[in-house]
Amino acid sequence: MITNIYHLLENYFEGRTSAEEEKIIRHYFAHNSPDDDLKEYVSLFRYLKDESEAMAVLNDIRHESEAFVPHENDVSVPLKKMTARYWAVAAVAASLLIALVLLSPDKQTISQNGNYVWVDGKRMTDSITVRKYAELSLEKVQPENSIIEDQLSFVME
Amino acid sequence: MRTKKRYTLLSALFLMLLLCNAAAQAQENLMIESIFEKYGKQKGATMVVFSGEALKSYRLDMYRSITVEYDKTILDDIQRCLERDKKQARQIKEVVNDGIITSGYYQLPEEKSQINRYILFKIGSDGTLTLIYMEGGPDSEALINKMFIRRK
Repeated sequence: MITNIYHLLENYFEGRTSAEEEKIIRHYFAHNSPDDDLKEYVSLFRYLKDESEAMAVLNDIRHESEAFVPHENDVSVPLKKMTARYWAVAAVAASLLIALVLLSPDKQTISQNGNYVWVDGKRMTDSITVRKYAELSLEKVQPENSIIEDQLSFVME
Repeated sequence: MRTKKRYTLLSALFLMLLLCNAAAQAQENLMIESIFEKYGKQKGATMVVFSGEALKSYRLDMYRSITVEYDKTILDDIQRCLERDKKQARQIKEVVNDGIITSGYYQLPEEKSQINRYILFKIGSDGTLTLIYMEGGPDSEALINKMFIRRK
């Protein structure tokens, strides 16, 4: 193992070690008491071991946080519920408003009740006067002759 | 989820009922109503609104009339209204001269409320235009027909 470590160290400083070999080196210096000639590398590889552990933890944290970030097209369940509830309330409010507008009695209809007459822009409510004008208007629409009889007699001439 | 669906369905149903009611009301309203509103209170016009006990002898519930001096604009307006409203009539008697309704009698029944509606119009020999709207129960029909369809 000691011979091996020297070999690994030589490869490490020449940049020829794999990740697995670097891991072996770090483990050796973390759990063994190296010889005097290797002691100068202890602090280096323990730092690197700490650094690699820190990086591993950091990567874990990063992966976990990415799992909770909502994508643009996704909507969380509570937000969907609120939106649907909002539209339902808006629909009911709109219906009530339409009902108030349509059923409001302010628009006068032809079936208005009351007894009055407007003559030249002046309103009169005297019942006798109103009746008189009603009878006058009724007389105006009375048929004078039977149109059918008139036309038949014309044809027969 | 079930509550939300029920809520939405009820709202949609309510809205639909309102729209149907509005459509029905629009059909029942007559165009001649606009004549009374536009010209009833102006100078040269006489508008009568009569209802209640005084109309019992005629078996009517409601009477409304307008008489105006001859005016081409008003005449055209009345003609348009009559052309539209008479489509609902089940009984029509009218005299047309040179494409103009010079006299007309129209009976429009209301099937639901058993109210008969009558529209009468005439261009008088004195040049006046008279438009009358009446409402009465089922027993008004015979009397009104006698007055305006058969010769006195």
